[in-house]
Amino acid sequence: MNRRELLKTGAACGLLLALPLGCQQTLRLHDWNTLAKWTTGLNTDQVKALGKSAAALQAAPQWRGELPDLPMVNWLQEGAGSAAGPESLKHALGSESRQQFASNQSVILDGWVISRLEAALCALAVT
Amino acid sequence: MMIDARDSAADLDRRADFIIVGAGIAGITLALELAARHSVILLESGGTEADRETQSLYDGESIGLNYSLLGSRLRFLGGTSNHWGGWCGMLDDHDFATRDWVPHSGWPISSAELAPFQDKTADILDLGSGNFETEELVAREDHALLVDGSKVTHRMMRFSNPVTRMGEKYRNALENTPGLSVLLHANLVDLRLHENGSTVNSGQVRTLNGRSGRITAKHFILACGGLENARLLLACRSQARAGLGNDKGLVGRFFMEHPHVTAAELFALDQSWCRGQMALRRDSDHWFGLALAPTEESLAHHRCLNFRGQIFNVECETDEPITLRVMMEQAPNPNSRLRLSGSEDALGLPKIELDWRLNELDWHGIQCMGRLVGEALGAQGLGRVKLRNWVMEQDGSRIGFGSHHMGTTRMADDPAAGVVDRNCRVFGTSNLFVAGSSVFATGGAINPTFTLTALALRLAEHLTGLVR
Ligand SMILES: Cc1cc2nc3c(=O)[nH]c(=O)nc-3n(C[C@H](O)[C@H](O)[C@H](O)COP(=O)(O)OP(=O)(O)OC[C@H]3O[C@@H](n4cnc5c(N)ncnc54)[C@H](O)[C@@H]3O)c2cc1C
Repeated sequence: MNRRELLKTGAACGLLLALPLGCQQTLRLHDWNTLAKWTTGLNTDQVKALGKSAAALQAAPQWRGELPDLPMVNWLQEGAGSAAGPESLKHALGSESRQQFASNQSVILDGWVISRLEAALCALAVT
Repeated sequence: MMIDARDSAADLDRRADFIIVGAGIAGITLALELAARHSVILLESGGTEADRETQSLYDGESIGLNYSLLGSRLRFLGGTSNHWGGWCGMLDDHDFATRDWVPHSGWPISSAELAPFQDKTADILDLGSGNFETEELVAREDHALLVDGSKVTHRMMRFSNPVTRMGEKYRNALENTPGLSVLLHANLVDLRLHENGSTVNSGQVRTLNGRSGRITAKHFILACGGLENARLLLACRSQARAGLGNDKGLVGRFFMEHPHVTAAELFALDQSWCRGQMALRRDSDHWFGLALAPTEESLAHHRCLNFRGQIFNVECETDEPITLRVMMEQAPNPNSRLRLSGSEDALGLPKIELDWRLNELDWHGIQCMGRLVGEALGAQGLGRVKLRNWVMEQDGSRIGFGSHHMGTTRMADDPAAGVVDRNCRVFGTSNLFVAGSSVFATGGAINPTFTLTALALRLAEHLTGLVR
């Protein structure tokens, strides 16, 4: 994962934190680690290792300062934001991640090929 | 007729329409095609069995990535077919195209020019069929597919069965075809030019027991394998200081292999897609298998190199990560090359010094392969991919090879860009041709023998036209 990819990933992460209230409440029911595990299918240790690498790579201020890309905003508001419970949130995260893979929005982090959303979730799991 | 050139009664001063040097897959294919209408002399360095002294003529030095010059080829009747594995496939159509992200890519011919020779090639190599279309065969229920086709798709491999040993299979034909003389234990050591500087007049033949002779012909074809073709051209220095066909210094450059890498693990979320990815399947009395391959669009998007990935069924039975074994395309690279070394073989010919190198694009290609397979799995929710650490660290000691020697006399339309033209004629000469994978401009990600055999048939057709 290079710096540019990471900054874009940061946008995804920033967006997760800036969700509308209802959505944040839904998300808070589940810690980031769980969300990252749901989405990637990896175990806790793997998620943590990936999260550390992502976090170590980035300097927080620049990362958070990146402008979010619009499709992601829409998804978070309309998809995850409207997710009523864990199952629909899980589904929404999974489908966004699949969508990102399909549209070439993957990153390579410590050798893992993961979606931008997954990289953001892993980073949040350790920060 | 087969003649042992070491025999004092054998006449080594001979003449024919065609001299073919090397009785491997390319040479035997050409000889039998041409001998139907013309007189042909087929020179073979070895005898009918392997022998250490002859094999040692292939010895040399590898100064780049780890490589075995002795183990990756055999020097007796049938050539390296005496221990090849028989895996066959076709280059993709897009392998022939110029890609703006791959310097020196692009062949002067398209795949369509080889298509007419597909079925005959399949016969020669005992593949059962020359059809490599996957649709019909994989439509069957037991042929589960991973792919959605947008990033990664499947390509078919067929397997030679029984594995073709050219010397054995065609022994009878080599002995009994009228107009064909096979000289065993006869090494070509030099080619002599007419005073016009472009027509090859004769070839110097030498045996390991000290005999020598001079053979003359209308046309000469080198079919000594992907390394030796270049070595011989470079070694013909008696009239051309840099070697024959080497005015532009390109002979021996652009050496390409197929880097064989166990570069990634697949962590399957769902194992159901895994079984049957590479399982051998039967198509009447022959076998075929499938390999993962990138689509043309995804290669262009990520500016990747081509690849074929294999997953073995046995691994799908466990909960362990699944190993992805991959054969990569190597980018054409002028600095990956062979030269003549300072030491000589028993016949006085300079040995090879091979400097096999990968460049940044090759390493990007390996990572990119992981990304594409990862994106394909991820997009379908089937699993995740992890590239091994050595890939990220670019550890060249982990790169394996396939004994596929390509590119050292590459084909081009422009003499400044290659050694042979689209008809495999050496630039600057009127009657010297090259057969084999040394003429490949790019190597794709598929074993080379099917393509080189089809090219040999195409060359035979071209040469027959010349001498009509
Ligand atoms: C272990 C192994 C497994 C392989 N498996 C596969 C596979 O599964 N699929 C695939 O597509 N490819 C495979 N290959 C590669 C395949 O064997 C070659 O692509 C093929 O043999 C090349 O054919 P050729 O006729 O160009 O050269 P060769 O078969 O090498 O024949 C060259 C001939 O030239 C003769 N010769 C050399 N120099 C002289 C000289 N100066 N004078 C006279 N004669 C000379 C040699 O004695 C030899 O007989 C494999 C190779 C190896 C080593």
